[in-house]
Amino acid sequence: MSSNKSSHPLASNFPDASQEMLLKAALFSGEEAIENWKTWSGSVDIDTLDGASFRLLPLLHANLVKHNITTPAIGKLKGISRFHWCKNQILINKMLSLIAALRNEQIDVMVLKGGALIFQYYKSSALRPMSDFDIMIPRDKIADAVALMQEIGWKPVGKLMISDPAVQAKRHGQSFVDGQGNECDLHWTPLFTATWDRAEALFWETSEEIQVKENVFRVLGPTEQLFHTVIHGGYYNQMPPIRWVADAWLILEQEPNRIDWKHLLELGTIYSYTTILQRGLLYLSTDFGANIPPEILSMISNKKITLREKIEIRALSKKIPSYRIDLLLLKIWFRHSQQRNNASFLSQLATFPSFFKAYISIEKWSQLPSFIVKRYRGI
Amino acid sequence: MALTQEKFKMILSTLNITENDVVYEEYEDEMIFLHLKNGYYYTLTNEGADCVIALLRSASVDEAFTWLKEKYETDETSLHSYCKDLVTELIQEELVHERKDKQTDDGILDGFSGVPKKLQSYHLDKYEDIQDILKFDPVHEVNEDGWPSVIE
Repeated sequence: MSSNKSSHPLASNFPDASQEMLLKAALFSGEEAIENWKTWSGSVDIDTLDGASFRLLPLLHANLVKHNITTPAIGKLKGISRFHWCKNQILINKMLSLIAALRNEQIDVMVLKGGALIFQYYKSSALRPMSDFDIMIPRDKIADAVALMQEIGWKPVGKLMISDPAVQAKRHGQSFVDGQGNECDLHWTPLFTATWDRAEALFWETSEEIQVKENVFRVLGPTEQLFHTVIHGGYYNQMPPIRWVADAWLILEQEPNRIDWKHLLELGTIYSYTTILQRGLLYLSTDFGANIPPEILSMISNKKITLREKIEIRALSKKIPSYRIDLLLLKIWFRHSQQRNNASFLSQLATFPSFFKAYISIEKWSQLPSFIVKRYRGI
Repeated sequence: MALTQEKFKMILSTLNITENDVVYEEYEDEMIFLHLKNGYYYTLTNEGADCVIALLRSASVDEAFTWLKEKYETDETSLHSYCKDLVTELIQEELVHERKDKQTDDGILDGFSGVPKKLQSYHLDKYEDIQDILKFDPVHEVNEDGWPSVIE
């Protein structure tokens, strides 16, 4: 069974050969780690490293220390680790303060992505660099949470349109920034494609509570955490999201008995992510030797991918050029029809204009030309 | 007048990290602290880090000293003096405070089976503005010791 990376539309979101060596040097044990470190370090210059690889250096440093490997660059690598530890501690402190404020107002909070993975799996905030933190709240608490955040100094990034419930149903979250430039993404659903009513319910149902200092918050259960991690590896991102491999590797390593594999495949079907899940699991198994049951790999390999998902995956996995308004329209149509998949085609067509406006954050059609011009200019 | 060992013990206590305001991380040869309230960043060299860890994780000063004496070639009086100076400095910086009871939340001490080393002087370096030093590029603006040691 091969992950057959190069010919796949998701290929650009997988690590290249050099990044793969770095991941193995950072994650593997014994000879495999040492051999990958030797080959990788002999072929790259840390001073000119790509951003996606740079984010893996604290994890690499920790593994080099564990294996007693010395290198002239160890001081620099350790410094990079200290740097990210400090940055993350400041963000985590902000995150915990915000969680305390929200919970004080009886608003339940789930931490997503790095902020959760650090406490669940990395166990050190130095090892998993974050540029912002992501929290999720129940949908019926959006207005309360937004009001509270503004009151304590968090400002929305861009126009705040989420006070309208119709808009909430078309978006997954809102970004905020505080006076020191710290960023927080406030979610009400964990996936930006799954914004329909109660799309997030499954994630809350299986979530788990953890405590950090005196702060209590929820995190995704292991199966949903693995799903969320692998799916994020499939989204287009300006910086290739290769660290999903490290995140997934650590989840698999530490939760060998708590992954509900069949439920994982069901999540892929429910949220139309079978393709990304398929490529991700095959990659982890084939290229990293991750312990994934063969019957699950076989089941997901044989799963039928819908035409809609095939087309969508091509649009999602790479940046849409600014002049391709047609592709943007197609992408928004898929998002819309996914939300209203029980409605007739005519009904979907009738409600598409309002969905489109909310998706591109305009209130009136007269703002459309300005949106197109800004898009062309890359603003 | 030199203090007796008993008096040393009276002024040296096991420690707790200043709750909520201070976070720390151990590296193989140092300990780093970040004071979140005032934005100060500190590095403490190996031997000093071991003393702090011992006092954080032990139920008593005697237990901490037993562990430290297995690791370092030193006598009780020198060790008391060394730890007292360090703890005084850390308390002044509001990084730690004395612990009155035997409870500790900072984990347990790892066993040690190597050859005891000489107890070298510790260095506690302080950087006064974390937001400022975070502006340094940790790859291109630092010397071989790595961030936050910048190229002069």
